[in-house]
Amino acid sequence: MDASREQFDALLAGYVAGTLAEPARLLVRSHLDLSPVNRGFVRDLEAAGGTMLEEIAPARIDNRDAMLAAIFASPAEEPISVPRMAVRTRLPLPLFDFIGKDVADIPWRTKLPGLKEYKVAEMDGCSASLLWIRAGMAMPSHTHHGTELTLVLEGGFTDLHGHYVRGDVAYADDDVDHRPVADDDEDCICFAVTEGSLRLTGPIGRLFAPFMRG
Amino acid sequence: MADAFRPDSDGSSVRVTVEDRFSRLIAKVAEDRDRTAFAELFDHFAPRLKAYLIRLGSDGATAEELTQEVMITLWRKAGLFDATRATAATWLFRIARNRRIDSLRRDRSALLDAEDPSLRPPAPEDQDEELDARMREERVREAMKKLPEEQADLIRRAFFSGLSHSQIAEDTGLPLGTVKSRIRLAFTRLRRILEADDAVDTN
Repeated sequence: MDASREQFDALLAGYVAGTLAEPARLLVRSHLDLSPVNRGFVRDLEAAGGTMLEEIAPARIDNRDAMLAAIFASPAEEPISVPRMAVRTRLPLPLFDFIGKDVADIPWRTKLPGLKEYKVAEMDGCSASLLWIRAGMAMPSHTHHGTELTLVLEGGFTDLHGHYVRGDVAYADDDVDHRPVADDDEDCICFAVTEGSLRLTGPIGRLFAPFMRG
Repeated sequence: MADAFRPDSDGSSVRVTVEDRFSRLIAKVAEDRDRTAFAELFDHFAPRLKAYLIRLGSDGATAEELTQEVMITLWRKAGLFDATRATAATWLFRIARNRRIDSLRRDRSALLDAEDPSLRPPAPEDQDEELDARMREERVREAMKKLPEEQADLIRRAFFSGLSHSQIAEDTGLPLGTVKSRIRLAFTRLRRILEADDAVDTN
């Protein structure tokens, strides 16, 4: 859908600009980890960030010499960080690091027969959950108060916009009455971030709504 | 868009020389802890990083503190800079963005986060899809030029000025809903231009 594609492009731009609410940022990082589809565009936007940094009117540095002295006095070498052992998880690494456990160790709560949930976080006005949906299960029809982003981690599902598999993100607006149905050959596990009613008014970086700080 | 990569009158070839210079300076910092080289990088980038952070809403002192953290990262991690993957400016932009998020999240312990992707060698499967950093930057500059000025302006404001949608609405005199949909449209349009370039390049 064009509208949701546009929404998602703007969300990627928010990720690059560094203005996303943390759960949305986690979802985008996880998506980029699993799927190559948007990596090129994100790199492009980062290159745009680099060119804009080159073109900005410089600010005066008040403590140049002291800053340089402090840098030169700092330890020159960090201990070489050991490349992380190949973590045996099917979760995207950013999500694995955030949750601190693998799928097998998730303390699921049953919401409905065939639907389990694990609340990952409530922060920046968003709630983030893992959802487990039994193969072939149709979710109850629902609309959203805010926007919902759903990243497929395992299996797949279909809603009126299309079919989503591992690494794909579905973007549902508040006016969409969507009714996802899990593929019937495999249980579906998703990471869902929903914009809540709470809105932060932090001092910095209020760009896009929804999912953006501010 | 074969023309996109040709040095043109607006100084692309000068930029390549400057980029080569930055890459060499960073290599000197990495290999020899060269303080003169570092000071030159500092004098170029620190004032820009500070200006960028101020635009995003930091006060002067905070912006300078974050700038210092970015420059310390450059001092310590210069060896991880890979000129084929990012220009110096893009690499520092990413580090500054991530440092700012960490500081907002108050996660000072994340200083020099080893998991920061800009501070990690690329996964082998990523390398095939890497476009040369300068080509990418040039391509993005060209794509921005192809956007109608109004859209390019909205992208700059939304992306890099730290302005909220409502502030942009106020500045431009456009209704808020219009600002939102136009910004979305502008990013999607930019993406289409970039992807059209990709299609031409691979032929």
